Amino acid sequence: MNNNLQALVDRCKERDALGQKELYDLYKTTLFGICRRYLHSIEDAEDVLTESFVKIFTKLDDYKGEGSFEGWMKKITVNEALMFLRKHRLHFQELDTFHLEFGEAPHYDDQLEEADIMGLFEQLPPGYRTVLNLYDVEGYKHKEIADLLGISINTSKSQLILARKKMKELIEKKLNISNGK
Amino acid sequence: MENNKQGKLKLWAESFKPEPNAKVWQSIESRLTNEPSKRKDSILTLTIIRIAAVFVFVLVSIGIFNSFFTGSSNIYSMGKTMELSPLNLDDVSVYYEPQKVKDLKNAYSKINNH
Repeated sequence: MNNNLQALVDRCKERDALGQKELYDLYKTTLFGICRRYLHSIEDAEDVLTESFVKIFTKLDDYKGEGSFEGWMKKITVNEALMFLRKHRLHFQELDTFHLEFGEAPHYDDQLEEADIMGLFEQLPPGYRTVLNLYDVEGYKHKEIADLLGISINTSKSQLILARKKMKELIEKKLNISNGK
Repeated sequence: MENNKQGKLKLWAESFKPEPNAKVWQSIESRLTNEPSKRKDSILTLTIIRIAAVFVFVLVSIGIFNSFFTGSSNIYSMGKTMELSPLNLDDVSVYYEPQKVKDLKNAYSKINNH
């Protein structure tokens, strides 16, 4: 952690309101991006962002300097998003991976703009979206995802396969529309 | 190849930084200002619970102490009121003393033999 950030964190630990606002302004968009990726509605994403920052400010003493501070905040935000989804009964369809083919990760074409990819994410069912986020973006392993979501490893795998398949279809559809096909 | 594709998605995720509504900070701020008073409230509740627990413990201890001594004093008071009749040994005809009985037997057998 650089000295400026360390000083800011120290101010936040002392519950300095201006320091807290400064830290919020510094990371609000990064953490809100995570919330938006996991949650369908903007209002829900804002609720999760609120919960995440409250937790960050009240649990600052728990951060022992192991790993990056931003990583620690991101982890809290992802956990809060997952807690929100669990509270709202995120359902995973139990599927056998035996008949599913392990497809490649979708190709996110350069023609796709930031808003386009978010739009595609929004079209994914919550279960697909969560596992795709955790595996392809956050880099969790299937075992870790299974533990985090309270599902089996096979369910995590099947959700990823189906999510990637669905994402490929959505990308192709989007590109076809953009290219006027 | 796979990593490249995932890399693109990761890159997008890292650069995806939407602006939250201004009211988010307001609700965080109000939650943070309520947090210390909530903590104070919980400390107060905890103190009250502790005091109540000590009070109940003292009351129970006094109760047990009282019941123990009141119970014992009842026994003592019963003892005090109980009347003891004097032991009457007049109607006890024989004291069993083996040596004396043996001597007596010998005396009788001598008399009978004469």
